[in-house]
Amino acid sequence: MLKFVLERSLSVIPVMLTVLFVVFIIVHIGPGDPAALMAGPNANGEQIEAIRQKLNLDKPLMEQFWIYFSDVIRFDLGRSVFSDRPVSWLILQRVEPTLVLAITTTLLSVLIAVPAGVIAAWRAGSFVDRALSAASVAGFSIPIFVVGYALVQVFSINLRWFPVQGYKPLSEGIWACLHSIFLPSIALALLFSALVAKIARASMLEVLAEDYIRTARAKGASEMRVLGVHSLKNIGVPVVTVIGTSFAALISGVVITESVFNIPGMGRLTVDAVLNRDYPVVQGVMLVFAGVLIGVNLIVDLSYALFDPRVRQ
Amino acid sequence: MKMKMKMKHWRNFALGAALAMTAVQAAQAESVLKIRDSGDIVQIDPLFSTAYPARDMAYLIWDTLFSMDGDLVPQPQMVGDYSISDDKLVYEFTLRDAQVFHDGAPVTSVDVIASINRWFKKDSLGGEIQKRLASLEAINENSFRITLTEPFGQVLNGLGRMTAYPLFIMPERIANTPIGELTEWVGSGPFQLVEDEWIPGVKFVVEKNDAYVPRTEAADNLAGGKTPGVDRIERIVFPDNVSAANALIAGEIDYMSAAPTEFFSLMADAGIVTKQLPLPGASVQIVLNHTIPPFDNIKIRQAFQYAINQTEILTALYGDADVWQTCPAIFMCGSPYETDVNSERYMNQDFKKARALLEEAGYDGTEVAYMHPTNGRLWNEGGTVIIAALREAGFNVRDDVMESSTLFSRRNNKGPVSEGGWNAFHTAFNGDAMQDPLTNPYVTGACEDAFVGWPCDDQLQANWQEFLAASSAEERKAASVKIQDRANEIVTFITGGQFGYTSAWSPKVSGVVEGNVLVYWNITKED
Repeated sequence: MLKFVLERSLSVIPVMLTVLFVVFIIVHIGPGDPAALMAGPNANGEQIEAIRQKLNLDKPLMEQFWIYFSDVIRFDLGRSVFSDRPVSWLILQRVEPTLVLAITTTLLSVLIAVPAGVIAAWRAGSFVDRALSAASVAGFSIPIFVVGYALVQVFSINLRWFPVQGYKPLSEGIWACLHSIFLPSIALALLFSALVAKIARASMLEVLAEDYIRTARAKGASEMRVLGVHSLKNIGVPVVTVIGTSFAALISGVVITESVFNIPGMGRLTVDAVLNRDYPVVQGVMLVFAGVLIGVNLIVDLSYALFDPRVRQ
Repeated sequence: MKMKMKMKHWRNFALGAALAMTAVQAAQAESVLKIRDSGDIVQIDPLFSTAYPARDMAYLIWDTLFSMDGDLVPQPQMVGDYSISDDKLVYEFTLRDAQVFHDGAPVTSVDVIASINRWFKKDSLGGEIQKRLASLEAINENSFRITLTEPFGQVLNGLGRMTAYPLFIMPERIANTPIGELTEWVGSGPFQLVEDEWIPGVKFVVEKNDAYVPRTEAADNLAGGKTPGVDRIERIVFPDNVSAANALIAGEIDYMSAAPTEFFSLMADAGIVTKQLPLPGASVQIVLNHTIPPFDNIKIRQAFQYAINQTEILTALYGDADVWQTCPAIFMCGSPYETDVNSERYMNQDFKKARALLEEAGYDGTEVAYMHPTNGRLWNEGGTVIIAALREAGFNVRDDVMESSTLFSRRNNKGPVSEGGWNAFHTAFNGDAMQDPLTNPYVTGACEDAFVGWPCDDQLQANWQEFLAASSAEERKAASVKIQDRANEIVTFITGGQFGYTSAWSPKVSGVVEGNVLVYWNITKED
């Protein structure tokens, strides 16, 4: 097991180096110029060129990469070309909202989706199954911003139960934080629970068709026992895999939700940085996202051992 | 003994409760104005960038020697008294009493001189003053003198410059910092930056400067008293207009600039005040590249003017006619320099005349590379209308779809289209810049040194210099008419009409200064 963990951890290094290089090249060869954006609408070419020199953007691409690479291996992600703040500081400011949103969404998704998927499979072909499938399709199909605005209209504007926008940090109290993050979590959970429910249903259908389930029922086990003890653990591998993938996607890809609810998270930081051609910030967040993805995959792989004894051997 | 201990506990409890009550009351008494303005503030060296969000917030932190009133006349702000010699060569200024920086140090003439010298390096009008400068010196701690080599009627306008680079007064040590490298944001304005709470992309916070002594005159645009009416201003970044409008309706923010027109009726139902600021908002400008075919030919540029229909452009952009107006003036309608001279071609769309001019010019169908960003209504819808009109007028247009950051970069390319150059695009500048020939970027005719498009014209340069040298309002007006006449003749740009910004604010808010710059002094908020 230890060998497995070590091997997986070491494999991170070439992946991160590749991410580092590819992201740097993609960001720099794309159109747009941070110096022009920074200088403002009234600036002339000379003023823009002066800023370009100040930011080292006039240097050859490989020289810029080498400067960046030398800094990164010393854990220095550089400074934002726009705000001149350390990239690591900018990322730290945005990690908490994104992490809290991802955790609450994942928890809500699991709480909604796993029972829904299990029930749908248990009652496959029934009205309940079809209703849950329809809800699942709706969860996939309705754009997240539509769900978000609808929730805001009902629960924030009309009922005044939740705030329209913003994020209260954990330092202001866990309830204040959860209160501020509830609507966006629900909006996202509707989407992600649809995905998890689909996988849970399909996996459960397979498990319920296994011989050992038939045996358990023949031995007189109750349906609750069949579902809860004999089946549930066996849908763990595919469900945990999709939860892990969803969690990684939540960390890096919830910019629409963050915009609709004005949550200052990583998604918005990324989009702002991309639109501003803020190269060091784009590179920094991409490295973080790559790290999160690799870390989540590692955890998911390790969790397989909990569900499948063959992995432990 | 036990009783004594009990009493002590009760006393401590009562004391704690009283302190807690006081803290709660203090917290409740603090008035916070939460605003949503467009854009973000990522740096705030006022001489580094011309970005409006940074400039607007800089006005809260730093003060200016002079400030423009509603008629765009510079009025003393930090300056108390001043005199101009009869030969118009010597200007002497005395600072108002009791002005201190946020760090407690008094504002002195040494700070002023260092700030002026910093401003000279960056601002074009500052540069013109510097060209005529014999000396800039302190008379004493509170007074300073500017001596010129020749009379120049723009000195006070420069000291009260509103855009692009206003002259803000900083402590000497900060003013000596190279432009773009500020690490301290200490001013003497009515508010001071809360540095710990400034998170780019999230929020920007200033707090009331208790030491600020405002002028006694009523606020008038940027002039007059700048009384901080609230204890704290939080400028919250919203990437989404709809969220911001909802937040205003729900009472989570108090003020919103550039409110979306589609929310006006909902806002009215919630008691929100919506008001278009009375002074020029912004105008649409179509910019042509004079240096490469086909717009190196004046007749082809004039044909472009005939293709334009301001009503169509503005309707596509804003729909509701209450927020826009067609306007023949390149210096904005409603400004002191408004005129309709030589505007007939772009105020009367005529495709026949456009085609006739193209034929007369020998237009050979050279492709027009039109830079057309699709992020944002201004560029997207505006570009669609303009490109369609150009095609109808007989131009062969290549619709170069992009996003705005690419436009900002590519517009500086002076090369041919095959090497990343361009022929035309449109954009918008705020009225505060457009309404003054000294800040309107399109009217210098200064060839390589001109704004993008690089129009090159001796007569226009002479007209601009005439404006610069004018010593009275009448002379300036006359010179501005000549500038518009010539600029429209050679088509330095084409104005696509103007539109206003509608601000919206909570009914709890009062005292909004309706001026050229979004400033938040004088605003008070009910609990």
